[in-house]
Amino acid sequence: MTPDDRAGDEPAPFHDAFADLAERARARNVGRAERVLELLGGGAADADDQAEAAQLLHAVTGSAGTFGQEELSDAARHLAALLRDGDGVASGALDGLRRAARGETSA
Amino acid sequence: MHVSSGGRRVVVIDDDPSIREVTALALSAVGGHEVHTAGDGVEGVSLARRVRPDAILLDVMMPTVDGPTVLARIRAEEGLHDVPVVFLTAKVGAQDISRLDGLGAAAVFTKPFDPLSLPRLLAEALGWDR
Repeated sequence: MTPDDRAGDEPAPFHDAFADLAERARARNVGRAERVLELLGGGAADADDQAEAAQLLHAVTGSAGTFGQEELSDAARHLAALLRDGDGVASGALDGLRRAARGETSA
Repeated sequence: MHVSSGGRRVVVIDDDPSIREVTALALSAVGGHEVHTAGDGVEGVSLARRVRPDAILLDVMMPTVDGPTVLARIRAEEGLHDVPVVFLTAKVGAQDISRLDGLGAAAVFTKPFDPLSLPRLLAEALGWDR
């Protein structure tokens, strides 16, 4: 449950300010995810690309869930684990990140 | 949802502007605390030196100087060495949490987190609600 879901339970100044900064945070996270797709989507990511992608995925994992983008957070965490474990980046994981970034439900 | 333990001075050190902003908002608007923020570890230690906080919320993974290094610098600072530090991390593996616990932080909070619950969690972790 995010603060968006609980409008009315918290002080009004919190909710008004939260709505504004959450909108900016969500846009920032989508931008980060799109950058990860650029870095990893071509199949020729070098070590620097993978390091940048890992840093971005780490940021998205922490931030997206905090601002109500749970699917994006989960997709970023999954992809980060694949990168960290050296298992290779499955196209399905990239598709999952792409769908979550674009707000397409996984159902 | 104001907590009764407000009025503390808290420094937040995190390189993600969204996390900095929402943490500061929750701790001030909900928790009633005075919040100061820094975007990296070097600035964070300098800020803490100036404001002498009651607690420091510290991101673990930051470019240039990471959270554990910042914690070590805080512990070595006259006047800051006993300030409670709470790690804030997106690393949620049991080994990660155990390693961070062992560095001398007062608590480890994981991201994502519920901003509205943060002031209460911080108060509980630091005994401010007693």
